[in-house]
Amino acid sequence: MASKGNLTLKSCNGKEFIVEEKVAVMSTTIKNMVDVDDSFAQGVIPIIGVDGKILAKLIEYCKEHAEADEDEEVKSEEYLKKFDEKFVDELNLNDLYDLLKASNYLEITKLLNLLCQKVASMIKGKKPEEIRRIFNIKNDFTPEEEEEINRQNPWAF
Amino acid sequence: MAMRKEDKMKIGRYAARPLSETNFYQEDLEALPDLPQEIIIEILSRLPVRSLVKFRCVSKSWSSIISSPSFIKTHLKISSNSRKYANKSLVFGHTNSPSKLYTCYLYSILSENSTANTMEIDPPLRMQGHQLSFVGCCNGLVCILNSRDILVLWNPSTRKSKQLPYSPNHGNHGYFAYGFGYDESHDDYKVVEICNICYQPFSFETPVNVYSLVTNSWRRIQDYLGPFVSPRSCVFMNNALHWPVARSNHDKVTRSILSFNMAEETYQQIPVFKLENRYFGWSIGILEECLVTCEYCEFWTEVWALKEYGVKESWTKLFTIPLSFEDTILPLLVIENSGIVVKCGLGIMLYNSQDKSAKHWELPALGNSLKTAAATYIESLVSPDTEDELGA
Repeated sequence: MASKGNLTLKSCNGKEFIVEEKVAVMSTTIKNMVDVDDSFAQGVIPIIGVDGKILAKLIEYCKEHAEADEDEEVKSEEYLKKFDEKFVDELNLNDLYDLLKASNYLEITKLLNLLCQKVASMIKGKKPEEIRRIFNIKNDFTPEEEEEINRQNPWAF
Repeated sequence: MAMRKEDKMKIGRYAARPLSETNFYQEDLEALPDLPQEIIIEILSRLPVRSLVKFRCVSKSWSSIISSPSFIKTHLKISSNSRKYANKSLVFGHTNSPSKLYTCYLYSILSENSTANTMEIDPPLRMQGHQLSFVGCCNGLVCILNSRDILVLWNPSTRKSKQLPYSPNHGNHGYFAYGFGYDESHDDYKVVEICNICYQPFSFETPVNVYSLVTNSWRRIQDYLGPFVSPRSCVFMNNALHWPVARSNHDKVTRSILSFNMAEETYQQIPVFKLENRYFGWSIGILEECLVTCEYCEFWTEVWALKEYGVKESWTKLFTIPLSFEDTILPLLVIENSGIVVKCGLGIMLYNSQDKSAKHWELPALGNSLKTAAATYIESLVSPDTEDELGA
């Protein structure tokens, strides 16, 4: 049982994490749960679809940012920028994928923005066919339609 | 989780194929399958325009996301808010009949090999073969004026352009000052033309015309009766256009900045600090979100910034450059209090205030040209034509 000011988060594979409330409520989804239903604040909050490894990563990120939001002097903008860079650089693709989905579901906007920026910089130079493969997208244009689109902007390719 | 394993297996087969292209990014991306659409939109809204134009052919759904007005607005908002100069680009070229213009990211001109990052770009068709000047830039759109008084709105990032209809005073003799900006309250782009038309000596009229992109037409508004507006520079910020103005009375020249509110279409004068008569020229610009003035006399040039918009006391001198310029200079970039990049008659120059040295950039095609046109813009998908969203 979490002490006052702390919340217990439980991953989908049963791992429990006791975190400070200010860290947990970086997630808008958790904040709404706690605000609406007091029993969550007392008991255990199940984090559906997020396993222990990913939840630990999320908490690591939120902890740094919650502390920085509270006291700008302790953690400067520059410190956070470096932390963010290191955080995304150390992720493998599976973790990046899982964190994208988890931060979207838990509405951790800052982290979601950071991860999307990372993916954007990874894909910006790719070819359309590589993009389809990466995101598992079916090309629903006819070859004529595709050619027509490409013809309009030959400079972009 | 079982779904994920299948995905990985499926993707694994594709990944075995050799990648035919060397990628910008070192890491080889395997797969991020089946992300929810809202995440896809978040990712796309952080891409450069060139990638987005290219990715329109990925699928019908991607094409419709990228062309949608709400996406274009989100993308613009993110590029405007990102790190100070990350998305700012420079467009420049000869003023005299340019067949080519050049663009580069603003920060790239600071690198050693600045020419390598510069890209050739065709000016809009109607602008080729005439003298051109940049009226102003806003939300990724650049307004260009040529020597035949033809105005064109151009998005250099998407290469789309639109020629504007002639203003009611097209063909009249006189001085014309132009400005271009965005009217947020009406979600409309406007071009403002302040005319000073001479019919005969001592007989002139000062009509003002406003072009609206939404209606694609000009209308005459209340005349401007203040001091003479310099047609040389105009700046859009804080929902208003700004021009340098000067009133001479015997030996005394009084200078100020005229601001024009885009939504209300009203005029206001912004006082400048006391400008002395020894200055024979001045222009205005924007540096680090502040309105700045550059004045030059025979021996030096001073750059002042209005640190707090509308507060006369907040005018602060940023630099004194011990050089004089014959042509209007345009401030482009401040380098952490150690220098400033300006466009001057000869091209683009970096002045280092630490060791007081000046460096001129050898940019392609500017070699022998005495006059250059330059403007800074942010990349956007905003279409210069309301009926034609990104080539749809």
